[in-house]
Amino acid sequence: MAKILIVEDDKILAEMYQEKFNHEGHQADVALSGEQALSELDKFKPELILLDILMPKLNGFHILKEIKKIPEYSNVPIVLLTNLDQSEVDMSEDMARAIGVADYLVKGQHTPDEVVARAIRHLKK
Amino acid sequence: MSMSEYDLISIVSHELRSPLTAIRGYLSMLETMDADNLTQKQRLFISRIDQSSQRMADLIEKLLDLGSIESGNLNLSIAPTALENIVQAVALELGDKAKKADLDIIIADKKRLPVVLADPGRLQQIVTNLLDNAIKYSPQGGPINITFKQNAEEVVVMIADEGVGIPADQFNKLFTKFGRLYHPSTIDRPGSGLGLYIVKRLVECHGGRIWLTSKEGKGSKFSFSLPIAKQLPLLD
Repeated sequence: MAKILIVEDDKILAEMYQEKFNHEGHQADVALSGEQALSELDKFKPELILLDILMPKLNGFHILKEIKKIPEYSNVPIVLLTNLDQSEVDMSEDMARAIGVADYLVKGQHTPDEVVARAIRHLKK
Repeated sequence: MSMSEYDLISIVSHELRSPLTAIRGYLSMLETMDADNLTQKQRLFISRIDQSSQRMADLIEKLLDLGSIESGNLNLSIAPTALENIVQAVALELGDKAKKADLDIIIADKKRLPVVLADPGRLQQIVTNLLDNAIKYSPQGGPINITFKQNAEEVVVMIADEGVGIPADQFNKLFTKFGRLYHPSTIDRPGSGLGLYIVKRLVECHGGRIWLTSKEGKGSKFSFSLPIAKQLPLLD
C-alpha cells in the first residue's frame, strides 16, 4: 500500500483516479490546486505524486519546481498527467527525466487502470 | 474562417477533452470494477456510450488538428522515416477490423523503399485515415491493395479498394471540409467529413500531393506522395 497524492484541478477526474488507486489498495489524496498540493505535502507525506500540468494560477511545472526544492520530497517520484499530447508539449522520455519527472501520461489516451498500473511502477521499492 | 475562430475551435476542443476523459474513464471502471453485477443490457448500454464517446474523442482530435493547420500552428517533427514500417504497423493495427469486414489488406512485396522525410506520427495518421476509409467503404469485402512507386524525387503510396467507388462529380468535394461521400450501403458509417481534408493538408505540409482515381461501383484508389530524403542511406 502506498500514499499517492493526486494534484488535479478537475474534481471529477481527480476523484476518478483516487477511486481507482484506493480500489487497488493504496491510499490516495486529492489536491485541487498547486497551492493545496504544496500545503498537503507535510500532512500527507506522499510516496508518489500525480501532477496535472494545466491548472489555474500555479501550473504543474511550477509545482514540480517547488516540490524539487523541498529536501524531504525532492526524490518522490512524480508522474505528469495531462491532456496535452506530446506534439503540444514536445515532451520526450529524455526530457521528462531531465526535468525530474518519472513519467508523462496523456489522460485521454489511458484508462484509469492503465494510469494506475503505470504510475505505481515508479514507486520506490 | 479567421484566425480567432480557429483559436476558438482549439480552446473549446481542449476544454472538451477533460469531461470526455472522465466519461470514458468511469465507463472503463464500471466495466472492470463492477463487471459481475452488470446485466447484459447494462453492458450493452455501456458499450454504446463508449462507442459514442470514442466518436466524440475522434472528432475533438480532428477539430484540434483543423485548428492547428488552419491557424498555421501545426508542428511537424520531420525526420528520415521508413515508410514501409509505418504502413506495416497501420495494416497490423487495422487488421482485425478489416478481417471482421471480410477484407484482406495486401501490402505489395517490394524492394526496400527509399527513406522519406516525414513526421512519423502524422504519416501514421495519414495512412490510418486512408486505410480506415478503404475498410469503411468496402461493405462487400474483398482485397485492399497497398502498393508503392518511386522516382528520383518522391515515393508514392497507393491504397486501392474494390468498394463502392466515388462518382466523378464528388471527387473534389471529398477533399473539402465536411465533404463526405453518401452512399446507401454506407449511410450508417459515422464520420465527420474532416478526415480527408486533414489528410490532404498534412500531405501538403510534407511537400507531397494526394489524388484519387475511382469508378462508382468498382472501387477507389487514393495515392499520395512524399519527398525522398536525399543523401541518406537506405535503412536496414
